[in-house]
Amino acid sequence: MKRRELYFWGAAIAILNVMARYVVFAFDVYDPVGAVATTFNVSVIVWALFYWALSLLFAGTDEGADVDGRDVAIVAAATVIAAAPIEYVGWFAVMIVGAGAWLTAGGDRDQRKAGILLVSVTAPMFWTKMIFSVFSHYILTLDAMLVAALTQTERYGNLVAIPGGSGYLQILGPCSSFANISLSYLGWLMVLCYYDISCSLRLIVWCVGIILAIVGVNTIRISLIGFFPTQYELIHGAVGSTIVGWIYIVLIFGLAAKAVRREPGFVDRDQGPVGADSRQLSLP
Amino acid sequence: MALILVSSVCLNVRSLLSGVRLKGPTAQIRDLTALSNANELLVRLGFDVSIVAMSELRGRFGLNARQGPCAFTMTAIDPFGWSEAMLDKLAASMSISYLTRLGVTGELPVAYTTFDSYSTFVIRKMHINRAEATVFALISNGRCNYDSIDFARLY
Repeated sequence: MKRRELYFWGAAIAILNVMARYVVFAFDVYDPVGAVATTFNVSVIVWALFYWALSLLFAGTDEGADVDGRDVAIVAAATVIAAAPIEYVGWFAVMIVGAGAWLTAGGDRDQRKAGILLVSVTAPMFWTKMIFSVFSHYILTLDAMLVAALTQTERYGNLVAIPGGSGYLQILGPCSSFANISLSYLGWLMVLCYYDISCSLRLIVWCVGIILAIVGVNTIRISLIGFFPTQYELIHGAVGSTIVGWIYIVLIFGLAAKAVRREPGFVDRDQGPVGADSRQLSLP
Repeated sequence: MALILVSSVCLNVRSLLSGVRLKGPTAQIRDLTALSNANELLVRLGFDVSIVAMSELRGRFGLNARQGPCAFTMTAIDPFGWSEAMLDKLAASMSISYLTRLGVTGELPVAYTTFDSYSTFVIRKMHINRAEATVFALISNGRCNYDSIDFARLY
């Protein structure tokens, strides 16, 4: 068996087991249409990443190096962990199989890329939640400071006074602007991997810019609830969440694509090398 | 490998489905159950207890308890410290204490309650019996001696 084939199966086992939880729970909470429409309460960026990572590994399952004992040990460990019926533990399996694919890739760019993507996806899906739960007090206070700066009202902890003095907005974990930071990073990384662009200081600055844009959009959204508290359900509910979700996707991928297209030596995957003049023309 | 994939997913889904069927009550119901237990404890100790809506705390309920000079309101709160600012506003000049598995403390031990909440969640998912890690806020008139109440019975 080839190494890439083994990692394909290892990744498939880890991904399907960890995502089974989200699918089962979504069907438990929503009707079937709602479960699918909300993409099982998981960002479409994450689903796209999984599809891409598996495609990268599957495309060359009959190519590359043969499996050795280290590969078998890594995939076996990931498989055992993935099968554990404990929530969130499955993300360790995704991380292990991703790290294995990454570190054993050698000159296999696609396998390395798949490995990096699988390791990175654990950031928004697992590590961010852990970090947030420890530092949520400070993060929510920072959120409230940003919202209060827009509403120009009093702030106390994670409370922001509603303009007009009719009460307080209480900013809780799921509303935090910072919950989407790692998702922004993930989208940025996917664009870099897609165009085979190495990370540079300029691209990191763009990534920070994307994160600030995402934080800004959510801050504006929460501030709108403050300005129009009677529209709370519309802004905070399914309609508001869906609209903001799509704005995030457009911002993340639009800005990241713009950033890599400006990189020296950028090669358009579909159109070949782009010169200085045509690069100008190819900008969206 | 395909066989391992299919069998592991089938086992996991089967476990998840049984988890869904057997899954615990929602946070609100858990809080109400904890409050009901607290109500039972306080009534047994001779407190005059009534239920009160705490709409500022995401639609939660609380208990107003009174015995002699002591009067306090007891309500379940987030274990992550998200309710502290709102509690400060609600309490105004009254005294706030927090009740966790560690006992009654003047400050919310956020690191402990966060860890306790997650570890209890995981332990219960493994079908090991462990009481919910409910965190209570106690807003009092400052004339209560909580040592006389055996709050440990709630855990």
